[in-house]
Amino acid sequence: MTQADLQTQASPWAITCENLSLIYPGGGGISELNLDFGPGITAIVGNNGAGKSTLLELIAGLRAPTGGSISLFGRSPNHWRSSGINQVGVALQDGRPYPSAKPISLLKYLDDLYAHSQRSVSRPTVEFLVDAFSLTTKTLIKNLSGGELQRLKCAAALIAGAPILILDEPTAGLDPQGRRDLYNVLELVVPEQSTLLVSTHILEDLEIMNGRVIALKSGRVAYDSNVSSGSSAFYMTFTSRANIELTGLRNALAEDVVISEKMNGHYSITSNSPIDAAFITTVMNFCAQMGADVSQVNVRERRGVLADVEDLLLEGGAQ
Amino acid sequence: MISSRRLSIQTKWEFLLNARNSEQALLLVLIPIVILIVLTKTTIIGGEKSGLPLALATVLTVSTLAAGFTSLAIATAFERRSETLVFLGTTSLTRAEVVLAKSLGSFLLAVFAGLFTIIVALVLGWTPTFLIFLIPFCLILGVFSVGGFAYLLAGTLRAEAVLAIANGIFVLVLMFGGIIFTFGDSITNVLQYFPPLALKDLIQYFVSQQNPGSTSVIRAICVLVVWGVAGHLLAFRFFKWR
Repeated sequence: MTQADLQTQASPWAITCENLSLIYPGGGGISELNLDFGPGITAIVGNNGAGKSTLLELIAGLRAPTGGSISLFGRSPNHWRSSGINQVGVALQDGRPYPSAKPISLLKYLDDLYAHSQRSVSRPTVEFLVDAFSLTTKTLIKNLSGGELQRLKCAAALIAGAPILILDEPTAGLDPQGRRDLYNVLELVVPEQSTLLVSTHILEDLEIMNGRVIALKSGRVAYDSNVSSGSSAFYMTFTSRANIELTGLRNALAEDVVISEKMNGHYSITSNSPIDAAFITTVMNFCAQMGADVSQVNVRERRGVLADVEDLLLEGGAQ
Repeated sequence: MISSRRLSIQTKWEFLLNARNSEQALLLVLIPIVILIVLTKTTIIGGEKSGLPLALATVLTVSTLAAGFTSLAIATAFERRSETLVFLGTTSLTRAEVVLAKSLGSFLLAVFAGLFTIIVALVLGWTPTFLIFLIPFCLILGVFSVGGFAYLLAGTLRAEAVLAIANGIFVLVLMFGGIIFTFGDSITNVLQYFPPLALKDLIQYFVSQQNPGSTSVIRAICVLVVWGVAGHLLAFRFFKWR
């Protein structure tokens, strides 16, 4: 098999999922997903149990589907594995591989393992990855902090030189600066032609990644930015007395304005039009008429995708 | 498909990781050498000093069981808990390569421990036979005979339970396996159909000038192979990667 054959055999897509399902015996999993992934970054978002890790582990060949099929460059994950060709580099969310080894030893061992494998993208050197991810060379893996471990896992995924990269919750447990730093390094080290799938439940990560977004809910695709058109949205939240009858306020505002009480006395208003001073005055006056004090008023605008996805996930949370 | 290149890299990695572990050094080198000296220089065990070939066979059996069963079970169980095994599933290694490399790594540990023991035996005055070069064959058969059961424990129980059970079985084998303490003929006739005594009988054939007869050797080999096949089949059926 030639290098060119590795990616151009049967499908223009790096990853194709057709009616892909994996239903766990106790319930949960994913159900009949039809998705294609090409070069570039795709964020997989969803609440806990939405099926993000299941989808990524299926693509990585770590689990077998109970229905449908999955192909990498037109062939099954098992085909590539049995051919000894690594098409996927993976950083899993859980686990602490080889805790008694040092990070640099682990990377050198993986470097040896992949040294003669057929691949279609360039493979970074151990020294480059240690430097780029600011990896410690002396601490044992079992003593690494959460952030250091995530960076090591990303480096280990990259050293395979695979055209598909899967990072499952790489920013879990990181502070905002740590998350931003990690994505900056990934932007620097991930080859442009790679297909990068990143799962996260932190919506702010979407702003940093700036790629395709797929939201999973109860094992199904609830949103795909390649298909859905993102809408700009404006938000106002405030705190007041619980259980205010909102019909009058709804009548006073435009038809596309959505008003809801998210929690006890915490209200959220979504509008497709900008929320200006007149809008806020209308809300305040209404509450005053209802004999309710208003506090913690907050108004903000977000990008369309982020707003759409947040709405979807909040609905999931409410369920 | 098994790639010899990947297999050798993985085996070297497994061996080096285990060899650096100080507990392994205690289990595989120090304890066997202490047993060798106690058996040959004192009368603590059995009321009389053992001959060097017999003591050497005993000690090589102990270190092989320690590497092929106790160490392998504990290391694999903790790798399962830390999701190292799942991590290996994300590399280009096949499952067969992962398992084979673990077994070969244990075999190399047994050889490593055996070398130390043989050097001490030579210092103590042991005269090797020309069959000494077949000892690695005994060690690999010994690792195979118990390795499947190590995987069975590691792949079905929690790591802490495996730690306790594997060490408990090791101590029971030392006490009642017929390799250090001898028992009457009726019990020995039963014990020779279990890996510890079968392995000791086989090694004893290669390290002593005495010829116990080809029947004993063939029986010992058959016992080790049958237990090995049974253990690996059970492990293949019940092993959970996480």
